[in-house]
Order: sequence, then structure tokens, then C-alpha cells
Amino acid sequence: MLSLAILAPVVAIAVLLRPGADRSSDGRKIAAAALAVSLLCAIAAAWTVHGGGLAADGIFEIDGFGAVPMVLFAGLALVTSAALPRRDCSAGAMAGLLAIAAGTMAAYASPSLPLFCASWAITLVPFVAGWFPDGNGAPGRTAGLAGVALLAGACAAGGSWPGFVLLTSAALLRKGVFPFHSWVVMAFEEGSAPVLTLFLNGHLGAFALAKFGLKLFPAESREALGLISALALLTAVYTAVLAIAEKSTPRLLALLAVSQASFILAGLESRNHEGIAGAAIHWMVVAAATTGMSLVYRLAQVRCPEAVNPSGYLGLAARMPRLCGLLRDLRTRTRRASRHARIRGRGPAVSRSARVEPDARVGASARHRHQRDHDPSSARASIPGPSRELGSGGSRRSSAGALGFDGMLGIPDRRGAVARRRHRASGIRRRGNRRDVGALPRGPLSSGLNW
Amino acid sequence: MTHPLEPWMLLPAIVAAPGLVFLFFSVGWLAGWEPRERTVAAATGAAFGAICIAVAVIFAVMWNSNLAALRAPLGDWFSVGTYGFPVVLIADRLSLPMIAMTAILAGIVGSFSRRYMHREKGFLRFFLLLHLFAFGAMLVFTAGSFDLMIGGWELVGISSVLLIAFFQDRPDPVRNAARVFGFYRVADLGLLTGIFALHHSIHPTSFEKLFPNAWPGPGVNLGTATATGVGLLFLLAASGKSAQGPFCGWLPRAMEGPTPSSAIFYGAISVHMGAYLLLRVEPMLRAAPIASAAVVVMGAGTALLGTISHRVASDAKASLSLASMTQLGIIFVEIGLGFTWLAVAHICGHAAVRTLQFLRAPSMLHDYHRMHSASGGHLETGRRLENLLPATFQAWLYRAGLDRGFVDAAVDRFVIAPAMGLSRGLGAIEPRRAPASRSRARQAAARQVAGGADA
Repeated sequence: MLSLAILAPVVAIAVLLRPGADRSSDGRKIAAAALAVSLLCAIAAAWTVHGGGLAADGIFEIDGFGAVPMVLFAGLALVTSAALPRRDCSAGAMAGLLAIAAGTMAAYASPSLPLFCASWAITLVPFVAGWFPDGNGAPGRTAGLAGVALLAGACAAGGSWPGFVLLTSAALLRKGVFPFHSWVVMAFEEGSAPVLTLFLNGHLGAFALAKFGLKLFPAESREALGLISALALLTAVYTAVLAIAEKSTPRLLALLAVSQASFILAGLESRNHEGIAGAAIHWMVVAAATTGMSLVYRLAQVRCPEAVNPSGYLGLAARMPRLCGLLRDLRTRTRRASRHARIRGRGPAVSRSARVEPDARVGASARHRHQRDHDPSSARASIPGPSRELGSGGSRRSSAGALGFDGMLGIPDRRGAVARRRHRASGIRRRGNRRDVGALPRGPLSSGLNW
Repeated sequence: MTHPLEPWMLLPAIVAAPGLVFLFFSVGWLAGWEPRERTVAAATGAAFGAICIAVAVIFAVMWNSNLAALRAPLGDWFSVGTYGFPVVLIADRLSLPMIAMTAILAGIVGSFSRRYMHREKGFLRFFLLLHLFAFGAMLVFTAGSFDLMIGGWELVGISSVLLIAFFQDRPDPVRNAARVFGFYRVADLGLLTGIFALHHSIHPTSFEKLFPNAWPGPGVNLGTATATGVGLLFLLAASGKSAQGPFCGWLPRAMEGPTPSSAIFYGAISVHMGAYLLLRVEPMLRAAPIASAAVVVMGAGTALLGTISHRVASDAKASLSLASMTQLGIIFVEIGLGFTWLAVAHICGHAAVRTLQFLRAPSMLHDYHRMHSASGGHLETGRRLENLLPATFQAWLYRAGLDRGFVDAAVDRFVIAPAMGLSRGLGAIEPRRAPASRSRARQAAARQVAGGADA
């Protein structure tokens, strides 16, 4: 079961990246299926070690400390693969996601430091190989490779101070503990937040210190406990302070993730039961919360690439042109419908509206439109009803209607402004038709709308 | 302590009922179900009605058996070595009135909201948050340990903030909700740190281990210094929740939410949670005179400020919120002086009256004008106590009341501005990506959107 949990993503990677396969094709289904298998196997493994015990299958072995994070991580990877926007689900990107999942789960189930080091390196493969399309990369790649080098050094150094220092440095680098926090923030600025969040939520640095630090370097661990805890707390506070005035959403997410991850490290390093229990709970809560937030951010970013500043989310129309277009379209339809209702009761209203906006005129046939395009004067003459100039009651009605919606959405009403300028220039005295000056044209549909 | 009828089994049901309603409707909504207003209102009425009956049964059992406290031990959530996270619910002389008050007032507000929120766009969202809040409040009032209490405490906080920002298409509610959230977080640091300190001093944080006698019996298993430190930290948390002292500025801002939510949160339940926390640790405060004195000073100062500001408030809801702040200040004074029973009675009475006033707030002005007309334009408003003061002092008080004691301005100037400055200063030395590459990434994203790639 344990090997199957790790091998399922590896097989899926092979399928996605097989020679001749199109890397830009959608690989979501394959990735989700592999991760679902991994999740089920991880749950089965966790069930085996429930109540204390060890599950082993030759290469990997896992205890209660590794089983719960494994289930959690498989679940997070599955949710991430299912919720990512379609543009992030190319075969290459999905292979990268699977490599992170396989490497992290293998690290949780590693019985020795060299195997852990190899698993750690697997999680970096997609960054090094450039499997992610939007340049996820340089800061994470550099920090990750430096971490692998440090970890390999720790494996070679054996049970001594240099080995412990190398292991600790690798862990702090991976977790982004001060002064190594900058790579995380820069990586979030550059890459896809959900992928990087998944990468960070493995917490392999804290896991390495908790699992191998005490086992391989007991004396050194005890002596360095205070320093590591202090560094973790310093990082938590420092990044939280940095986040107060931060305007960029990806940087904000990164600072939040680093701050909370440092609390987890501080709890694990406290080496008392309450601290470890708190760290375990915090791990689960923070992993779920940051995954959710980064997915929400990515989905908003895809729909609205300009809304990178949290303060900009309130300017709906300026930031979300599609939604704005929808509302404008709805406005036009609403107005048409209300005019249609007015036609039946009051004929001249049609002519006034049509005079101002011939295209929107209800009942204007294609022949009329064609005629107007080629001979506007004849088209104007063909419209029944008294002729009125721009700036009269009809124009005010339409521009006021537009101003009502557009003003609400934050769109400048250029057509209305032009009409008003022309009206002022023409010197025609504004006639008071106050009934028509409203935010919305009156009619059965518009009156039912709850804006 | 355990009754043969096992009435303690009702306690988990009381806590779980609003949580289950929240879960049911939220999962249904995520699955695409849009329940009818009548369905939501019926479920709300049924849940709070059932809770009221359960509370009445527990009260009757405790009264007949002369029980001081009823415990529902549900075991440990998890255990690591010697530490286990205790899930113990408790109904004692303090928590039972609070549970009953929550169930009755939340039920009334739910019934009122069915009509008040009729055809409102966020009808379901409002009721979901009401149930989430009720779940959090029940958890706070029945928690048998601080570890469990903080879970409910945070749920109340987040549901409160989400309801302040209920009208999310307007900038002001969102801005005010963010500010309230910030205040809550700072105040919650007091609760968190206090619980850390308790863990450090005595490993379990259950009330049973901390206080040897049933509430409000004297005695605490802490030294005076620790009791003072923890008491002051809990005072910080209570002040944040109950809008006392430097945190008083958030309460008028919280009036941006719908009126029923203002009633249940800032008139009835949420603002009294700070007072509940202080009442819960009252034996600890009794062992720490400095902390008790701080509670009295905090409460008295806020009561004075609240009454001055309330008299010059220009809108009905802000005026009511400031009046709530005044009464809460008096409740703090009562707790600090050791009048625990008086404080409990004051909380219950104040919550009931204030809920009524908040719910009537939208029609109050209309009624007032009608009465004013009916009386021929000569409605007697009564004598004002401030008229007894010298005119100069009255003007000074008026100025202070208009600016609500300058507390918000002071917090902005001496807390928020320096924190922002520090953050900006530290941010300036942090490495950032080059602007050119940022704009390239943005252009690439815009091209993708223009190309028709969909999420």
C-alpha cells in the first residue's frame, strides 16, 4: 500500500510525459486519478499504524508521525489538481504537481536520511526541468538545489556537528526561515501560488529536523533547540510585520505561509507534548487554509489579471471587464424591454428613444438600419414621431439610465458627457422633465431588478 | 455528579444543533441547492426551539438534583504522549444562563430576520453566519477548558466580521470589517498568550483543574504573580471582544451589518463574551488584586466615554452601540469589584433590552415622528444630567463625545501608523522582482485572457 501510494503519481508522470505526448494537453484527469489512488493508499497505511505501530514494505516505512501528513498531503494535492484553472492543467504542469506529491510522500515514508534526501530532490525536479509553464522557478530552484546539496552534505558528514549544521541549514532554507525567507516571497511573485503552496505545505524542513535531527544528532539537537525555536519565532513575527503594509497579494500569501510555517517549526522544536500537539494541529489547519486561499487567489487572478492589489477588488467594473460587459449587456436589454413596454402604451416614447439611439430602437427593421447607414437623413425621416434634438428629455433619459449603472460600476459615462457638452454648446435651454431623470428607466423588468 | 437520566448528553446536542444546520445548508449550497426562505427559517426555528427545550430540561434536572455543574466528558480529541486535548462540555451556574440567553435571543433574531431579510440577496448567507455564530457561542459558553473555548471564540469573531461586511459591494462595510478583524486579532493575542501561560504553569487548562471549587467558588491553582499575568492577558482579550478601553472604536463601525446581526452580536451575545470570560476566571481575578483593579479602571473609563459619546451620536444604531459599551463598562466594574451575580443578571437584562432596541431601530424614528406629531410637536424629552455641569465643561465634553474620546485617532496615530511605518521600512530592504519582469508577467496573463483561455 505504501509503495503504491508513492508509485501511482510516478506512473502518472510517465503517462503524461511519454515520448510523443502533447505536453500542453489537459492532464487533469490522469493526475486526479493517480492522486485519488495515492490518497486511498495513504489512508489505508494510516489505518494500519493507527494506535501506534509501523507499516513497512521493504523500501519505505511509516509511523504515526508520517502517516497523518501523508494523508493530508495526498488530499491537498488532489484538491489542488481538481481546482486549478484549466490553463494551469497542462500535462507538464500536472506532471510537476505529481512529482511534488510523490517526492513529499516518499520523504514522509523514508526510513533513512539518504532516501529522504533523494525524495527531497524529486520534489525539485519540475522546477529544474521547467515543467511549469509560467516560469515557476528561479528562486525556488536555487534554494531547493542548495538545500539538496546541504542535505547530501549532512548524509556524508555523519553524526557530528557539521552534519547537524548542514541538516539544519537545509531545513531552514526549505522552510524559508529567516534569513532565508526571501526566496519564498520572490517565488510566489513569479510562479503559480497553488503549486508553490503545495510545495511549502509539505513542511519537509520541519519534518527532517523532527524525524532525523533527534535520531541522528541527539546531543546537537538538544543544544540547538533554543536557537532554532528562536529563529522560527523571529521569522513568524518578522514576516507578519512585513505583511502589514504589503500591497501585493502573492507576496502577502507568501509572507502568511512563511509566518505560519515558522510557528509549526517552533512547536515541533519545543519537544514537549503540548508543543508537538499544537504544531500538528496547526500544520493541518494552515495547510488547508493556505491551499484554499492560494486557489481562490489564482482563480481570481485568471479571471482578472489586473486585480493584483487587494484594494482593487472593490472596483468591480474597472477590474473585471467580462462581468462589466455582462452587466452593460443586461442594462441594454433591460432598457430595450422597458421601452418595448412603453411602446404599447405611449407611442411617442419610442420615437424619442429611437431618435437618440437608433440601434436600440425596438421595432426598427433591418431595412431601416441599412437605409440609415447609407442615408442617415432618410432613415431619420422614416422614424415616426416628433423630431427632438440631443440633450432633450429623451437624451437625458438614456444618459441618466447609463449613468445609473455605469456610475455604480465605476465606468465613466462618455456618451452622456458628450451629449451634455453638445447640449450646453447648442445653447438650448434644458427642459425640466424630472420624471425621466432617474437611475433606471421605468418598466416591468427594471422595477423588478434588485440592484 | 452524574445524574441517572444522563442529561449531560443534551449538552453536545445543544452545541451541535446550530453547527449541523450550518453544515447542512452550506454543503447543500456548495452542491448547487438554493433552499427556499421558508425552509431556512423553519430549520432555524426548529433548531433554536429544540435548544430551548433542551436547556429547560437541563435546568430542571440541575434544580431538582441541586447540582452545581453538569459535565459532559467526551474524551480526548487526540493525545500526544501525556497530553490529551480534552473535549469536555460544562453547564454550570454561569454557563446555563448564557446558553439559555443565546438560544432564546438567537431564535428571536432568526424569526425577525425571516421577514427583515426577505428577498435580500444574501438571505441564505445571513442565516448560515447566524448558525455559525450560534455554534461558536454555544461552544464558548459550554467549553470545559480554555483549549476548547478558543475554538468557539474564533468562530464568533470570524462570523461577526463576515456579517459586518455583509453588504460586500460597498467599500465602507468591507473597510470597517477589516478594521474590526484587526482589533479582534490583536485582542485574541491576549487569550492565546494567556492560554500558553496556563499551559506553561499547569499543563491541563480545564476549568476543573484550574479552579478547585464549582463556579463561583473561591480558589485557583495558580500563584499570585501568574494569576496577575494571566488575568491581565485575559482582560486584554475580554476588552477586545467587549469593545472596552482602547478597543472601543470598533463597536460603532460594526453597525454596518444588517440590523438583526447588530442585535444578536453587538446588543446581545458577542459583546458579552468578554464579560463572560472575566466571570469565568473571576476566582483568578480575586487572587490577583492588580488585575481586578485593572478591570475596574478599564470598565469605568469606558462607561464614562460611552455615555458621553452616546449622547451626541447622530444615528440610532451608533447611539445604541455606544449605550451598549457604557453598560458593558459597568458590567466590567461589577466583575472587578466581585459582584458576580449582579454581573450575570446585568448581562441577561442588558442583552434582552438591547436586542429589542436594536430590532426596533429601523422603525424607531418613524414611531418617534408619529408620536411627535400626535403630541402637537411638543414631545417632552426629559432633563439631561449634563445640564448640571458648567457650560465650558459641557462644550468640552461635547467635543470629546463627538470624536468618541479621540480613542480612534490615538490608536491610528500611536499604534497603526508606527506599525505601518515599521512594516514599510522593513519591506523597503526586502528584495523584490524587477518591475519590468512583473509587467511582462502581467502582459502574459492579459494575453492569455484575451486569447480566450478560461478557468
